[in-house]
Amino acid sequence: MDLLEYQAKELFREVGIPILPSEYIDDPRQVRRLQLPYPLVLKSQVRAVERAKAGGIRFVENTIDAIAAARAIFSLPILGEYPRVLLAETRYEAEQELFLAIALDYQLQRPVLLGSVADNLRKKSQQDRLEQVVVEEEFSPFYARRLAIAMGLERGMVESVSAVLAKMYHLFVTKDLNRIEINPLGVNPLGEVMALDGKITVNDEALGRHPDLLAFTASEYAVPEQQFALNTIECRPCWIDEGGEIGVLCNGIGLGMTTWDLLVQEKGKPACLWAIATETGGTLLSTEEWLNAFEQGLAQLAARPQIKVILIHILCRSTAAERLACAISDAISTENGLTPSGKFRLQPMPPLVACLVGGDLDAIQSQFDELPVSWTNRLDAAVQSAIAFC
Amino acid sequence: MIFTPNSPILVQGITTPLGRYSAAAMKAYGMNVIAGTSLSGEGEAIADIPICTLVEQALDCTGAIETSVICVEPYAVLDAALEAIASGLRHLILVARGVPPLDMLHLLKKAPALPGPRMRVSVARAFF
Repeated sequence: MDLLEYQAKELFREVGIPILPSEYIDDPRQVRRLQLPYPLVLKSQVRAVERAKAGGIRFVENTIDAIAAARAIFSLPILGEYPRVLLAETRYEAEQELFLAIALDYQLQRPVLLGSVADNLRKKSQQDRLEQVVVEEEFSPFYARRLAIAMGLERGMVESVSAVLAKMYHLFVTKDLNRIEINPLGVNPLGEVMALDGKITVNDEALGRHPDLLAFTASEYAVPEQQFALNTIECRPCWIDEGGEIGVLCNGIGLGMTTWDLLVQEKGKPACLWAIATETGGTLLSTEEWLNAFEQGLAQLAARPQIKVILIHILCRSTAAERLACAISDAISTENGLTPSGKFRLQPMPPLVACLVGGDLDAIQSQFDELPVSWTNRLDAAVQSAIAFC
Repeated sequence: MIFTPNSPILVQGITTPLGRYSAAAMKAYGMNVIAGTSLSGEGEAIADIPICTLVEQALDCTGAIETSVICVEPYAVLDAALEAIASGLRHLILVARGVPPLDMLHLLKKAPALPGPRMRVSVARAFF
């Protein structure tokens, strides 16, 4: 989740990173009530970068200009997003600008400190642009000093910049951030630093344990819904190979991958994989929901013209295997184009090979032997049967 | 430590929905699930698996275990893993999804530094 600038600056204020006196408004008429001294900067609070180029950042000298500018900014969408809030800040004369950021490097599995002097940011290659220091062990301010020296700062500035970095790191760790960035950190002629802009990205998985950050989102940004709503489970195929001939339906991605690999190994041509995991989006599906999704998946696979046979590979408990077999037989048999559960189907179902691991194979085979389904409980046998159909 | 079909397994968080399902399914499939832990303490045994509050209590009841399947809710995974490590378990399988990355960093940083047999942490990419 990306925080807006004024929210990020709120967090900066809490930890003591210097920010300008500022207020935020959500309506152009509130400009009159601002208590800040002019000249001011009015900034559109949107998630896009490059706001200045788009006209989202305006300098104003007096109230009249400010009202006009505020009206203009509120009606200006940047990359499709209208600002709901405007941040007004006092103007700041920076002699030098620095870039500081902390991010998580997934390959090194450690946080890294990033920094650069503003002039370098325009350089072509990534290595010239940013200096990087990996936080190998427990953080201590000397890591920040290392970065400051690598950036080429003079001795007086090293301490103030590393103090800011240490506070950024504290925020990074305590609020479970993915990334925290101050671009630019302004330095005035006296050597004091000021965070002129802030970007914070909070890790979505960790958001649940930070109610204060959730409060930032409550007003304007809906937390993404669960991917699989309970009534309509939206199944999407996992992989598609246009040249293939075998449809695969499994109850998990791992099983699906295994089945796909085995098919390819035996020179078969899998076409499409549907994986309906028992646990999706963090919730366990009930049997009904799962069976619904299963039926949908089967229908979708059958609808693809290139598929000549469908291989079903399900790992289930013995009690569930019977129900599953019934579901499969329901899905196949039609009378006047309607399946027993009332769904309409035009095309005939291609032959099925069902590998149900965990069920009583003999009972199922005897109960459903008239159907065009080959029942087995071994994957290698199922793979061979499926390939034989192509 | 070699992981075999008969290796004894502890399920942490056995009374969570995920834990209940996993433990019952694993046992039905033939794995040697011999104990479970749960924050709500001793309760009815799930699929005849005794349940304790602490990992060390589970070890006292059942003897040495090296493998733990962690099914607690995501924000408690780090704590469960640290508890397992403190009780001497060296093979952890994290099934719960949505663990915050910084928690994983702590765990991965801790793993290689432990004395004794090599620590293995596996993250189940999806259940099955």
